[in-house]
Amino acid sequence: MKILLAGNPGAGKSVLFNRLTGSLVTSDNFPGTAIGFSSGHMRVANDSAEVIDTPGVYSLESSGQASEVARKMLRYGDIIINVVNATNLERDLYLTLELLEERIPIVVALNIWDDARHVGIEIDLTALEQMLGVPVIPTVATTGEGIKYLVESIPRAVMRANPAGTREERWVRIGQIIGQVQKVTHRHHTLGESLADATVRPLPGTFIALLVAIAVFAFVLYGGEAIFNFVAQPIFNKLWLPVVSAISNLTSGATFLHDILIGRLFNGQIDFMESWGLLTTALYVPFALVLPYIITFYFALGLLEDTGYLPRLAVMIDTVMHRFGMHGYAIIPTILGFGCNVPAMMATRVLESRKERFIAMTLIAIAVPCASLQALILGLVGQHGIQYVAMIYATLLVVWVIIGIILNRAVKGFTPELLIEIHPYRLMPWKLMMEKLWIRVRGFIVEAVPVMIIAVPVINLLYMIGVFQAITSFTAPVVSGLLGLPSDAVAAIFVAFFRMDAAMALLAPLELSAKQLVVSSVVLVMFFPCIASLAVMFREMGSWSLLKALCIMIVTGLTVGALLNLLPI
Amino acid sequence: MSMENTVVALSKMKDGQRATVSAVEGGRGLVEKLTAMGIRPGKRITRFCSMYLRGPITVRVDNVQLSLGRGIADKIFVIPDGLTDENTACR
Repeated sequence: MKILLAGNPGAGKSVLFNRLTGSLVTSDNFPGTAIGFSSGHMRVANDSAEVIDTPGVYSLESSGQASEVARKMLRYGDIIINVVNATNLERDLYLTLELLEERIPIVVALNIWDDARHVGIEIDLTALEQMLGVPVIPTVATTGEGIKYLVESIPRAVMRANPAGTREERWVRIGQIIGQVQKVTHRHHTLGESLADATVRPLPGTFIALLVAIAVFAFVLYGGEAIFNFVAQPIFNKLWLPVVSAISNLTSGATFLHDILIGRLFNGQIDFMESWGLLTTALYVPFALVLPYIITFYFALGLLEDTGYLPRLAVMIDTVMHRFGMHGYAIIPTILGFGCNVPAMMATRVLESRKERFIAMTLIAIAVPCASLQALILGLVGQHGIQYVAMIYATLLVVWVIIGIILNRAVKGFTPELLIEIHPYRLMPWKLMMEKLWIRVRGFIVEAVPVMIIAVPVINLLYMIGVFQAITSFTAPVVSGLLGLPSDAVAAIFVAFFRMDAAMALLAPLELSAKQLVVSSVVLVMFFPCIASLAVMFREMGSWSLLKALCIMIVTGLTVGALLNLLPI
Repeated sequence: MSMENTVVALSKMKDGQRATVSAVEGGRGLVEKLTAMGIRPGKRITRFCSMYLRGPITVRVDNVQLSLGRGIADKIFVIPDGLTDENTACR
């Protein structure tokens, strides 16, 4: 049996999905980014059933990818759980009436039931059940209230297959239903609501947005540093170092094996950062240097997503984003890009026009460094002083703005206007937030670590056979002449294609000056995307646009790198 | 000189003002989308707040809060009823 969850954006489908299946699936709070779907399993009357979460839509008939996907998915379901937001009954019933016209049994989950009471909405459940002709179960997905009854009611789902109505007929019917089942009592604004309102008001809203940005940045930075200092570093130095030292001694006779597993020794000592062996650098970079920041970044991002703050940020920044040919919602994929550019590129699907998507993806690829790269920048450049790290971010911001303005003028097409719903703030259960964090951290571990484990020995081998040395002579005019870097640094640019963090790590043994580190960091961020981003950009924008985007990246990367080299830093 | 009973575009209303939607004039796609999101003739609407520099306007319809660009607000016509909501003055 296949059970479909269908409902408006913000009705709480994804949380309900989590409650029903208990499965680890990301449920992004903002509508639209989950154009794909999640599926999981649950037990209904001692039988296993598949549960499928469809994209949130207001109507099955509206244009747009989400509605199309939802319409297609309806054909594959045996039962629909229609998730209705009890605080927006009138509007949400439109989709319900559309669903009741389909030849498929339905149960209605009247979700966010607790809030309906709080905002002064009274709903007569028996009357609603009678008028719709299907079971209606009040639920509070975030707390789990009513979920048991919902599951029990699934076998009682009713297929109405109502005759298809016109839009006007449906609204008339909804008017009748609302008139009979809903009573709204007037109620004064609470303090919480006034605070919530402040986040979309221009003056306090801008101020709050700045505070949030600073708080998130500080949390990611210092939180990550704390995990590194108090957890990762002790584990590697106290527990892992004795193990690899022993292996180093055991393999010291076998030079090749030692070079691959442990790498080079410095004064007879292992240096996790520079030894460049399978058991040293290949593990140290992802687990000790990057993972702490992955954890803090995705924790902060999850909080921003789940509370519902991000759409407010989109409203605040809309005017600015229009200067770059996008509307405010483009800020959300951009923020995602600071974690990893790949999901960020996919999230640009929420943007309606080709122009917007091209600009958003190009800007992310050029000026938004992923968490792995940032962690290495912090580690390597931060040693020379935080002002150099600030210089890198300032350069990226300036480039983002300038390229954005140029692309807005140069790219043909239109920029649609912002039209989004601002859902009330919600507190997600901790368990769900932690599950989501774990999925993302696990994603990093299963995707990034294997690449590092392959990349490190491969790079090692390439060095041994002298491939990089051969390239160096070709590229020296650009790398040394234009960018002022040692000619060896070209290896990093090649490696960046596979893993940005590995590329930065390659720079560690080169003894670069602070200025050279700033130049190379900026060039690595801007010059070329990693292979995973490249693949997703190819899929999302096609070969011709990708070629254009790559030209922009290469030209900008080299130009900005050369300019920075000329500056007296 | 009162604005009562005269049709104006949502973009011309003041923050905090209440009105009734009289028409949405735009392409079929826009009308459908706005209808589905809760803005359709006959609905009571409150212009809650607007961003600087012709930024988006945030409105309320029932319990729904929507933010829309000025160009969209130009296409939504309303009849203001002279009431303002003390909670929604934009400060």
